[in-house]
Amino acid sequence: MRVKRSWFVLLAVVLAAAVLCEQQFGTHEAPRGQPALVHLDAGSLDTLRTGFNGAQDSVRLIVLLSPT
Amino acid sequence: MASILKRYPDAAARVFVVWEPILSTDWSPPSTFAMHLIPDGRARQYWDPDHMVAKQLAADRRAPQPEEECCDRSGILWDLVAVYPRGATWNDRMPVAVLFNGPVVDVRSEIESSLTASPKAVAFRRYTDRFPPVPEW
Repeated sequence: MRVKRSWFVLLAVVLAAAVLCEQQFGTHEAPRGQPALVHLDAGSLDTLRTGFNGAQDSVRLIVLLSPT
Repeated sequence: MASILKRYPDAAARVFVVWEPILSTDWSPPSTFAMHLIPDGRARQYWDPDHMVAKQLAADRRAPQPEEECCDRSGILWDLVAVYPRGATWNDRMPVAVLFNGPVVDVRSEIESSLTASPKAVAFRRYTDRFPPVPEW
């Protein structure tokens, strides 16, 4: 019986870890206060330019990063 | 980047974070975990699988913009920050950046200087950059 209970606990931990991993690494949600991630293609590059030119009162930074 | 923005919460700044596939593990858009590495509300995040922004930045490099000292992998710019002063406009070409270098972690102090530079100082620098350098005697 004790062995069975420990298996249930282990299973629960594994499931919780899987759910947490799925939330963090399987989704693409922007932080609160930011708009959703924009997928750039030939038709949507102008959204970046519009955002850039729309913030003329601010210093603008473009940062190129790799996701991993 | 997040720590810099956190240090200057009142700085008038807009950060365009462009994620692009560079490493062999970059087979999907940035995860929620990666995007939350830059949680500041002044940031906007983009996924650029075709490197369009990197190519545009590379194509529009010109004097007096400083030349980067790194940040190239197979001909694609990455791990780089370009900083543009207030008033700069992106028309058919990107404007001239006042900072164009990386890796991002190594240019922290330059980024901070750009964020705290007064608009008058930036305007003066843009004005003086139009003239050739004074020769040494």
